Amino acid sequence: MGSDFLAYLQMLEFIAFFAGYPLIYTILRYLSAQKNNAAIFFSKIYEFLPSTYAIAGTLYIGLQLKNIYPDYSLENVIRTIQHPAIAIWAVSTVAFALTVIAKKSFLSLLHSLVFFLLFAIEIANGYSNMSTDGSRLHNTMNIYTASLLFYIIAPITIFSISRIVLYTKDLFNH
Amino acid sequence: MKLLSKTTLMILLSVVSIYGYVASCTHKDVVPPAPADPTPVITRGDAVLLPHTMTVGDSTQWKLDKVHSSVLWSTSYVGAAGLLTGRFNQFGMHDVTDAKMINYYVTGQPLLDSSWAFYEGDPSKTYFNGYVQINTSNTGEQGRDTGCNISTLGTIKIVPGTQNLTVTNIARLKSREVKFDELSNDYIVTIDLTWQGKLGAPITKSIVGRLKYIPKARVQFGTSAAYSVFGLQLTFQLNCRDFGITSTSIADVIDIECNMNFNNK
Repeated sequence: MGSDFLAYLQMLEFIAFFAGYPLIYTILRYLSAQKNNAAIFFSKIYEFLPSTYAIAGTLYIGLQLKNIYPDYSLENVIRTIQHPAIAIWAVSTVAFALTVIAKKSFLSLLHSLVFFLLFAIEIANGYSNMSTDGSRLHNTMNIYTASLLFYIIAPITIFSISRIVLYTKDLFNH
Repeated sequence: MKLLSKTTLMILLSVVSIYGYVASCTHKDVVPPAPADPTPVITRGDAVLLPHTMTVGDSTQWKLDKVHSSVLWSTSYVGAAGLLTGRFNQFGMHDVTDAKMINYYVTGQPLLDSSWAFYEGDPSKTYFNGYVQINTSNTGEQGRDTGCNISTLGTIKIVPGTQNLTVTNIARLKSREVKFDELSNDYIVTIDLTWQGKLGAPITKSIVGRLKYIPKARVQFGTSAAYSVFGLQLTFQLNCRDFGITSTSIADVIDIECNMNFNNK
């Protein structure tokens, strides 16, 4: 039971950090392809999505380091991580911090679909267990909402900071 | 790839997400448990317990087991801190009239503890009288019991071999009305508390307290004869300022708990 619960918690971590990415990505991609003034704004935000994805990966690594603290031995890491393959996949998101990979934003979508698939499975599991524990699905959706909010707010924040930096740079140059 | 390059993927992802939200907000009807019955369970017998003349060996006559009874007091220290507690070593259940308020040169009970009657099923017939000797307040601290407590309560120190029931050293209780408590097995009692304290003359204050009856039970130990016991517990509060007590070491309100045990030996 303890191990199952730990595995469930770690599944929620994947959902929280990454599952919201595909939906926001596809929506922004759709909006930026429209022919109106707002599309320019959305396309700018869209450009920052892979970086945001990499930041989420960094935050995830930070959380895992905190979870494992203070015993960073390999033995403890193996014992603590319940889904090692997915965890490695999650850690690899930091690769999108590299400009070369970030430019191919489509890769980030493909990468994140794995986590969305986990979310979809979790929905299916939650719904099948609804009669005994409806709060599980409710909890999963709360986590997913947080993930969506993160991928809305974070790129806008990064975009705003970049504009401020550019503006400040221009001021000094003149 | 073409699938992903169009809006199909967005729609698919949206559908899954929306389905999750709809499913998580869907609740199956659950019948709530029936509310608990707020009516208290009250069971009362019809025991009639009387002292009569307290003749030893008469099992129909109930005697106060003073040795196993107590009158306890408590109040918060300086009106703000934890509890100060103590007990009165000498007390009894007798209607002490003015004429009986004298010194008794005995070591045991000066008066018969027979001024009471208890009717479990008819509280209108229940009554009791009681008293405590103020200077027998015992906190376990000799310095307080024979020092500041004496002067604070307006009395004099214990004289060995004397039961001091004089007006400055006695607080008397007299029940005025006993009725059923509608919310428990207890009884609500209106009592008159008469005490001089630091005033020039005794005054009487009407106080409402709670009387608990601990039902009669038969006990036997070893080969000795079996006998029966029961208990009465009276709790109430008094405001010591009403009686001229000005000490700042104690709070205004004093809690009193009288635990009276009776037997029919």
